[in-house]
Amino acid sequence: MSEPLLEVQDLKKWFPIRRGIFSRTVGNVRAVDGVSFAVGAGETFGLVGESGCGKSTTGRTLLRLIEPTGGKITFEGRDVRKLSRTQMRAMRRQMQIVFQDPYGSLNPRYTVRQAIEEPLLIHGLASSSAERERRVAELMDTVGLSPSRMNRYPHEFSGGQRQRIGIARALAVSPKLIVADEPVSALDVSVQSQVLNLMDDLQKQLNLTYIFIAHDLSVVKHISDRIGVMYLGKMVELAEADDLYAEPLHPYTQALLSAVPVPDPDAKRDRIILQGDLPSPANPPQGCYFHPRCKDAMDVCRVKAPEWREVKPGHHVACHLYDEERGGSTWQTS
Amino acid sequence: MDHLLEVKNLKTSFLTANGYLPAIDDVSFHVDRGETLGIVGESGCGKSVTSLSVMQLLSANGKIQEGTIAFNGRNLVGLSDGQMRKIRGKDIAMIFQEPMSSLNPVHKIGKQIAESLKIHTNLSLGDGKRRAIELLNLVGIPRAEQIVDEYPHRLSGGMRQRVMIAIAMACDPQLLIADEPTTALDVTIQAQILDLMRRLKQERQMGIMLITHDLGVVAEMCDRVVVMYAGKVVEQGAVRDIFRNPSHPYTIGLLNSIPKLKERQERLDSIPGTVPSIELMPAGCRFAARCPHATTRCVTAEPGLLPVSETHQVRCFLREGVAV
Amino acid sequence: MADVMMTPTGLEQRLAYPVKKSQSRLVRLLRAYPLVFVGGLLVAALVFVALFAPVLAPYNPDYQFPNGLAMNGAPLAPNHQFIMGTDDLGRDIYSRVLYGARVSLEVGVFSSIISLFIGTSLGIIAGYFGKWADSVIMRITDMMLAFPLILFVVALVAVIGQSVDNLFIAIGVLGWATTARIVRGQVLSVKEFEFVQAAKALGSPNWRILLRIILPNIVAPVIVLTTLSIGNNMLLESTLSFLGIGVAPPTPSWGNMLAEGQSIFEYAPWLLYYPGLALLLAVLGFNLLGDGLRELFNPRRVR
Repeated sequence: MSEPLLEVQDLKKWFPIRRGIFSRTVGNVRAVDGVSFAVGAGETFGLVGESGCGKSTTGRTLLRLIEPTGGKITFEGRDVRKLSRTQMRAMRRQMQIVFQDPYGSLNPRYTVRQAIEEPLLIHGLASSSAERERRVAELMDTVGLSPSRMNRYPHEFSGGQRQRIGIARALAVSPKLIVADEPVSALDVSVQSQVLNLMDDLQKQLNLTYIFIAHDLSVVKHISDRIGVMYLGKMVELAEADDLYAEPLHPYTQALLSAVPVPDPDAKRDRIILQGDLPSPANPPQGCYFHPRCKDAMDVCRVKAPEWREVKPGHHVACHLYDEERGGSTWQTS
Repeated sequence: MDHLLEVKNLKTSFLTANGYLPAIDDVSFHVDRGETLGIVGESGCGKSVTSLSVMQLLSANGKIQEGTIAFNGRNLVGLSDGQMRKIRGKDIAMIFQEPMSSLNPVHKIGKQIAESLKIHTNLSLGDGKRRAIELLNLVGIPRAEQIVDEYPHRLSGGMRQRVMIAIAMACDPQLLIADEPTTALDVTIQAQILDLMRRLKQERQMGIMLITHDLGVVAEMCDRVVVMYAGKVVEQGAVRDIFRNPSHPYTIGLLNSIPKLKERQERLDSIPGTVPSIELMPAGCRFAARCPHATTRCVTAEPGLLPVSETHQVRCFLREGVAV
Repeated sequence: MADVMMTPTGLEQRLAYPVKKSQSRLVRLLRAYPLVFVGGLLVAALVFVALFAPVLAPYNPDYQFPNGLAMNGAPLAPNHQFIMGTDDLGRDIYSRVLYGARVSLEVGVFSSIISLFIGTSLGIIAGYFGKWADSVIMRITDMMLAFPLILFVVALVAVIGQSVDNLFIAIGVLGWATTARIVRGQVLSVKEFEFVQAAKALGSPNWRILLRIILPNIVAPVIVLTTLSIGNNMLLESTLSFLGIGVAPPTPSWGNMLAEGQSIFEYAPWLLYYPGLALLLAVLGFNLLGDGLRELFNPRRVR
């Protein structure tokens, strides 16, 4: 990875908790609490975690669909948070998003043509109606839909087909980066694989960069080059996809991987079953956020938050098990 | 000995503007004591209709048109609502996908558990609470003595599903129907719940009918599997039959579509096309339009369930002429 | 629109919404809710009468017929010349009822349009932009709803003067609170849909999202509300005219006709019957039509 396309430093999104008639802020829900990563051009960066870990919020703050509370987002060398509204609108040509819900993300009152045409109109990307129609047909073709159906409404399409429409709409502005927020979670397995293959093909054809957000580890592992694991608003581990699977360092990642049901009745299962539930992000535990559920928790974990460090080339983790004063190389022996 | 539950040639239809259309047709399977049967398939395959048929909880426009559902040898089809109510919650219990909406938000947890007990046994109020605490302990809820007096919104999704299981366990049912019990839960919580269900099954020699779309869950939980597609059973067998020797092109396609954690795949296999709609059900094999091996015969005639082995059957012409 | 449903939301769910391909939505609606048809007819008849009152009415509504009163000065009961009888000034009630439709419809429709415009604008601003705009607008709305509308209207008419125009302006300018509140609720729920987020992500400016995405998605309930409010405002007009602060005589309005008739109701009940019946039918018409439209726009009921 030479020059990153997108760089995120210490990204924060705190949602204030307001009480009383004067809406006094009594606390903050730390949905995203200091997340840093970089994504190279043409790469797929996977963001994985359980509900409430802040992965979706992270995706949306990158596009400023939700305004971040703190941190720095650099896209092609430009500070995204400093852009004016007009500049941000122009920037949206470069960064697009595909949503999870293939039902809710398309306006039921727009035909497929209108939906895909909308970005062309907003950004003045096609001068005439005929040209727009040609472009819509081309985009539908790209995502594997028959252009003859462009005047139909979304409800006439299946979930997988709607997700293709959503992708075509995002592609209309020829973006460089697409944030895919759980794009296949609502789909059946056989359809899910169709959409994943399509996203793969498009990436190769159009040299797209993806940030792929999902809770399904096998899906993220399949599509991503590198993966970041989030827990309670923080990034706990980041590594190459194969590395992360072969050698998960953070106890949470280990538990998460071991919990995935394997479609093989004879698979060996040394499952780590996590105790308890996710703590509230409004009132996270002291020290390492994961320590109350961690099988390897030590005294230091209860008082001090672990540092984010690179323990192997390209493999980052935030865990006291890998502190330098403890040798910093536990991963070699485990 | 009789099977705990034996469903034979079940056909359940729903009233539409075009008359009664079958959502499931000719569905047969059985569940034994101490065994987990998985019913697996994608949306629209009829797996939920099957479970609701067994419970006789179909919506007003649905009805069982053919077939029998024998529970401990007694046919449930045609029983009155009153007779069914005595069985539901006592001998057959059910848990659903959505633990958020399955609990009544205005009643305390303890009261909701005791409710089920009150209906089927004559338990005093104090005993009800004591039993509720026992049940909460059974399903692994910490601080059970305090949780009985909490309202559902105070609990997380995983905890609510545990409460649902506690309610289901209240009368010590012989059969538990679990309709996508972990689909709404995170994977680490899912692991907890599946673990709990496995433990309860062993301790109580209960039969479980597990409805799911997740083949990973099936592989972990089930002894035998029924694969459904567009309202029909397309393949059934012991769990190893299905995963080691999948014989229906749909089962094969489904297994190949799943991204594998262990290996690096360049491309996923996928099944082209979509499930046919109930109004436009094809005459022949319902999978023909999406099947890589389909012949003209598949389009016109429907295959029966053919044996692959003693424990394994498949609904596909490809099996014909293959020696068992 | 929805003739073939291919949503993959499951066989079970598809079954819950039976679809017959050959019938249009309107035909199905009429079969399921025949009363809509009655409502539509009543409203159509009202509009027709209001438009063509000068042609339909046999006499000038203000003309006091010398033969319109009995020898003792009492109004005439319905007869072959005055089919609905005459009032205490010897005017033809039939003609007055027909002309009264004009006033009622004018006040009902125009006041509702004014309310619709103000209420929708404020509701959209409150719902879409939120924050302090929402707080301010909704607190004013609460205040408007807490006071009986009729008191406000009486006060305003007292200031700006009594006329048909001033009446509908007063009702319209003061009666937007319900619309604002409902529109705000609708906007809040539509705003949560991901297609609104998607439009933002595509770089749509706010005005475009408001006009092209939010507005079309809230039109249905707003139309229903407006239809119902036309009926309500017609009633309000009659109430005000009945109290003597609405339409000033001699302009005929169903309300002031009722007011004039009430003192001699005991021996000339037809003075109340006919304007009362007209009012009843007109309001009923709008209410039936509004209820029917609600069903028509409800995707869960008739598809």
